[in-house]
Amino acid sequence: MKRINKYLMVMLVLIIASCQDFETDLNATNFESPNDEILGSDPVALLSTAGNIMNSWFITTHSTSGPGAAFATMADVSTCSWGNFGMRDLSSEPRLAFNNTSSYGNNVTKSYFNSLYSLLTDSNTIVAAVENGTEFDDPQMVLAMGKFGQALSIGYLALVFDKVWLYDAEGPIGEGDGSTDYETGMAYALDRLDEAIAIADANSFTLPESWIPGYTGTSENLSELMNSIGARMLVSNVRNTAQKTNITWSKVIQYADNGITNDFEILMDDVVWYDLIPKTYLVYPGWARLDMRIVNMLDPTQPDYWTEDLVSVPESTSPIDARLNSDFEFLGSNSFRPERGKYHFSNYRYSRYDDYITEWTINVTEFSKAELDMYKAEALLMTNDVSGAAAIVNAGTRITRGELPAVAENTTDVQAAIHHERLVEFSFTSMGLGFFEMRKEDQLQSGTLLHFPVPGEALDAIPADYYTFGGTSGVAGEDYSTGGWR
Amino acid sequence: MKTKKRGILALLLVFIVHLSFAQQKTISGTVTDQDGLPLPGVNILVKGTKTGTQTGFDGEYTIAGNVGQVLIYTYLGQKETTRTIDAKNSINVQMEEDAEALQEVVVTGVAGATDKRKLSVTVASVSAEELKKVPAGSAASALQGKVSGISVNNLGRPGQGATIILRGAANLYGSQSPLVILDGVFVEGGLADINVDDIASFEIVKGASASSLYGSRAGNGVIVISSKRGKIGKTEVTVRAETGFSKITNLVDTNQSHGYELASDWQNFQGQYTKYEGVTYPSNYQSVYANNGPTAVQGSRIESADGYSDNPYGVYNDFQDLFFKTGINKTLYSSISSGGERAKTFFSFENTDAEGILAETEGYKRSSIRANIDYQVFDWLTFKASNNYIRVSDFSPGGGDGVFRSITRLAPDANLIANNPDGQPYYFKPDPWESEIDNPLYSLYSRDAESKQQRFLGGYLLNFKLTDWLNADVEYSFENNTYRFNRTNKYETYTTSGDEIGFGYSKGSLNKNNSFDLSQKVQTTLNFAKTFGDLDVKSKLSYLAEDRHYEYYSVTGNDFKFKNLPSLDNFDSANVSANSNQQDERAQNMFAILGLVFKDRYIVDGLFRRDGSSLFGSENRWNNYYRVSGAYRISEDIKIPGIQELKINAARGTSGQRPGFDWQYEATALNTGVLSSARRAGNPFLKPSLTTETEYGLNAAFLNRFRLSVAYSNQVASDQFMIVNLFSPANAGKSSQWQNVGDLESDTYELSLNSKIIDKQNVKWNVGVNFTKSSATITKLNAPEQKVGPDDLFLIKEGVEFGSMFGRKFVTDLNTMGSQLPDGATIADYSVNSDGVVVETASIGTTSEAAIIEVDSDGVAVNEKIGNQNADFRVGITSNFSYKNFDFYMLWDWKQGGDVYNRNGQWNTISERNVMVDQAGKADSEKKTRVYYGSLYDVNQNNSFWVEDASYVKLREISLAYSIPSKVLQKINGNFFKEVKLSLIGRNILTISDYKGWDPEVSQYSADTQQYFAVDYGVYPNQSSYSMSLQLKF
Repeated sequence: MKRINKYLMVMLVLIIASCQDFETDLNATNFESPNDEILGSDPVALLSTAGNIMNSWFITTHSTSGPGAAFATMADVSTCSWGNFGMRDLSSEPRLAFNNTSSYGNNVTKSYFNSLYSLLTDSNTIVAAVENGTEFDDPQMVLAMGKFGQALSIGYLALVFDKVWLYDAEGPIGEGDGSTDYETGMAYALDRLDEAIAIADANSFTLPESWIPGYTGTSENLSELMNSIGARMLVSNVRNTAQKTNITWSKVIQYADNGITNDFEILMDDVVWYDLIPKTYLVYPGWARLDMRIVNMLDPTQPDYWTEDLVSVPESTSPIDARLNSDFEFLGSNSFRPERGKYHFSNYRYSRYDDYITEWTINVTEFSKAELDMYKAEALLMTNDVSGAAAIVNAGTRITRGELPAVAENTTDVQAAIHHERLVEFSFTSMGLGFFEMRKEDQLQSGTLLHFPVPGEALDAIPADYYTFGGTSGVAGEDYSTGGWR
Repeated sequence: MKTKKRGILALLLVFIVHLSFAQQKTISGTVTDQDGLPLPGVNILVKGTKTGTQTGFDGEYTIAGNVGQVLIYTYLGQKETTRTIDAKNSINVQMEEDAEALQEVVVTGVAGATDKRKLSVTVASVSAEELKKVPAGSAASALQGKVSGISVNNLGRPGQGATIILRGAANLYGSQSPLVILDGVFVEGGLADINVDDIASFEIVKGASASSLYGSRAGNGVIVISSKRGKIGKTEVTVRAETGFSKITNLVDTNQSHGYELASDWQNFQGQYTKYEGVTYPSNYQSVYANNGPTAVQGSRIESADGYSDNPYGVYNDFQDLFFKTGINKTLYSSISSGGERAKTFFSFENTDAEGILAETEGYKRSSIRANIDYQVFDWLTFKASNNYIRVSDFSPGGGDGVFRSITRLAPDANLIANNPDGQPYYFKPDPWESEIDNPLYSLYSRDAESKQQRFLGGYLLNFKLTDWLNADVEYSFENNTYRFNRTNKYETYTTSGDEIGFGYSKGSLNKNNSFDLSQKVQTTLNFAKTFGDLDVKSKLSYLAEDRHYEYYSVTGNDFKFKNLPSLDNFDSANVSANSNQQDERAQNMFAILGLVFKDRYIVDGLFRRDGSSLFGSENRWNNYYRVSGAYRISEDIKIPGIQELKINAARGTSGQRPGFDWQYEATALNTGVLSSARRAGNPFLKPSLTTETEYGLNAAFLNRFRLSVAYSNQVASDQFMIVNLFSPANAGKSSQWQNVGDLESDTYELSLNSKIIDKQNVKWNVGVNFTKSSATITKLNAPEQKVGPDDLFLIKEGVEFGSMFGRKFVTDLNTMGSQLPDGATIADYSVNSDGVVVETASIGTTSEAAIIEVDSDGVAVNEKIGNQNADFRVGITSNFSYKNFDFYMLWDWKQGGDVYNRNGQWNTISERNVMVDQAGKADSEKKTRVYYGSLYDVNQNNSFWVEDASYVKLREISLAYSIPSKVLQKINGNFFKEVKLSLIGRNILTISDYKGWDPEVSQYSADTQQYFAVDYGVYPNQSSYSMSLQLKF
């Protein structure tokens, strides 16, 4: 008996002694990621999420997994025959349908799609939290940001896809699962944007610096930015020239008049803020170059298309636009594969932002004043104020940076001048600007898709049938281009 | 009269005294083994004293002792025998074979230590004898070719070890590695750091039915390793030193011609650079690339009109020679083993240094110290301690995965050894016409990345003998890993930039990361073993608790402020970023197992286990596992002539695989202050995957020479994990979720045959053959199909064999071409060319020749099965031949089938470096254009053209050893040395394969599934090693 007692004691002692620092609770907490309960209700978490909105939108639109690079080559602004980022397949000539299957290796829509819906969810949560009375130090600031996030996410989905799903914190908006077309989607986005503008105008606050680094985020500045985004989204959403008459141009003028007065820049930190497309891979030595069409616009003696027989094209000696020498760099030889089509060759690259690809932690321009000016000019043109439009063009970068002659006061010339500025001056600032312009003016080469289908993997997950656009898939003129500059 | 009595008394006294002194006497005798042959080296100890001796080469011994004292005789493989000293002066002993010591007993996965002949499940074992012929670099690669049912693929980089898969794959997502237990410690840090000299045996539990005892950790099988322990007897010291070198033996051929017009005076510049027509060169041109500026060329090359790549270069360099070096390997091992009745100890020290075969890169260094102690505290209490401390320093090579591609992508006239403008070696952009290629030697040279690791594995076991038939174990074991990594890129490290020349200083960066991993285990077990007449009953009841805590943090600083100061203080605070990670896993498990053996021939066993783990979803916290098995020893009932042993067995059991740490949580990932945009939904219903196995086996020993073991296993792994895509607008922005969605079924056939072909006194020859055939198919999938692995090459879909490659194809036959003719063309316009693809006949040899992608009726490229990374079957053959003191050992490994996707080969075609582009030397009628080969590249899409059959036959291990005969040893220093053995060792020295890359054994890690795939990109190639080893025992 004694012996057994001794055993038990020894056993117990040993077990206890070895159990220091030994946890047995089978509920292990995950300390790495905030759980959804907290994200949805805790004011501190909600404030952090609000602060994330601009970064999330910026990184998504400037990502290599998004459609930005493909937009640039499809628009014949950039040219590249490396297969990455969909640049080559979508800009091949003749234009083909987009491979929307889930097995396609160069998918450019899935991450973009999912990321913007995550952003929409976050924005909805924030708006609902403020409207339900959650305690914030500055609830109006958070509300403005939340609505801005809703506008940006739905707006940038409508610009890119043919279908958008609308939902808020309560659930789907509209019929059924909330799916709707791009026009209705953009209208919803602009409504939210207007609400955000109203809140910013009616209140006085300053965003914490980390929300948009390098930017003085006063409510006045934020209102100007939001108005500018409104102009951009309203004008850029149309799929063809015929739809331009549907734009409320007076609204565009209103947005432009209340918009930015200086370039909108953000300070990159190369950790969570970085600009891959367009400012890295569309300009980096060895990567994408300037499409010959733009070279030709800057110097009409240069070819606008690299034909099969051309071996090399010499440097421009007398460009009509001074920016060919200031913003671009001549390259003597081509590194693209000739068998992929010499139409991808070019002798110039964009060098205006070479500081960025050397320093990485400097300011980059996201929305330039010149872009806003062009929206106003176009709106004046479309509301029959040709001289007003010409005046804006002649006061802008066409003269100050391009040193071109003043534009004559007729619709065709002013239209061409606006087109010129859009492609030359600021198409390397934000996602897709060159593509939106070419799309709106029916200039995209025949067969180019006008918007992307819902990503194949998302269709599989619903599940829904596969469909795509481009080539001859879809409705002519609405889903793929029937026009083209050549 | 009185004097006489006194005299007699005195005499008696003297006699008695004489007798008592005479009781200390000398005993001598001969010790023989169970066959009657003399046994040298038997340890004899006088119980209770330190007096001991050993038998000589003829089995004879002499020892001093008193009558009544007990002599203990011990020898490896024999049962310990005792004799009491009595009146006789001579004690001859015949020892009995001890099944346990001969590794004929298995302790893993069964109710108690069981004789192999009475196992009802399949457990394979490998002993130290087999391992020491050619000691592997680590425990990870030690098992290759020696056991059926195991697939071992070596990872070339020193210190990485090997991937081990037991039977068929059991997971769609998640590691395929088996659970490894070393002296009771659950090894979390991998086998690559465990040295082989310390290992006494491996027990390998391949199927779920046998590993059922280990429950939800054992779905991939279990490997149990026991390290060497002290033995009773004289102190024995072993010293082994091995030195050798490793090198690459197969180099990859590359294209040595180009397709551009040469300048008319190009021969004047031969040896300096290749002068092309249409290009102006700067003075002192070094045959390197510059984007712009005074060292850049002007103009473009002109393509030859014929389009063939058959023109010579001006300079020919061999890069693989520069890139690969001969690596020196050194190992020093020493151990001391001793033991008495009360305590047995084993100490060892090992030091390994393997340089690896990449230039400018140091390799892997390891030091290991072991102390194993066994105490017999009281008759009823034993205490075993196993301690192992390991220190590792490892240099990972620079350049990332692309460095292996770069070295075969450079044009032969690229100048890798030119200096950079500031004097640094290895000019950064060495290929004159490729702006994308960074000098791989520069990447290796500028890399300064070292990881240091310290691991401690401790296992402590107390055993209480409660009664003769009941004892209790209390065990505590833990593994403590600390890992430190430091990577410095100096300020002057080059990178592509906007500078004129195309590259400039990156301003450097510093990355430090540390991790700490402590996994502990406490287990109490009651062991029951009793014989009731003809019935042997063994049983265990056990409770096990596990706790694992993991912490990690990493800090990175970018853009140094001061040069040559690798400190985190040397950055602007805005340029420093950090992140961290913490994981906790806990489990509580209990099991009961019962094994019955009736009349030594009818065997039945069953077990039940219940696991609770913090990794399971909260709604499925507890899961159960079971096994039933039986065996029948036919040879005990029916005597078949020639057959010594015949047993059949069948088993059915379950085990599982636990989900990963954060798979179940409803949380959004946070990184550097930013919420992730690719969000995952949680799953509280997530449960472990369940592997159910049915196994049938047959074991036989016949003709006194052969031992055969055959097994068939059908394994269904259900509730497989997979990341399933969700429709994000309907799921609050969440686009994926871990779910249990499918079944993976595998069938495995195994066969092992060992034979003693010659078994004489001076000549012995054993040959062993093992054969494995295994395949795994996805039989059910409740989710949309998915592509995983490197470049999404592998398809997970219902009905598909796991490991199948899917992709596009070129049209290779005219029938298929007939169904996809373009408008206006007829089939007569097409034919199959010399590469086996269909092309327009008129275009052959011209720049219009192009391979055609096979499309379906809608004109969309087909997506079909283009390869299978699984072998058709694997065979391992070991041959042990010994003649007197010479020993010749070989291990051949034959893998038939198993495709590798040669991504390096495909990618090299775009820069025209693939050797097939070289047309020089071909008849003009057979030449093909560069443009044509560009079409074969298919823009780096997955294409069947690049799938290669990587079947191989390898001579994995070979050794020739000579042991100095004991007669000679006795004359040296008074028989100081017990053994002196010199071996010449070769590893992986011969590879017979059609594979065009460096080595057909290719495993590339893919982080999405945490598994290895047969895609050749960024894979450090396997090497051949030659070395010499000297082993001394004294």
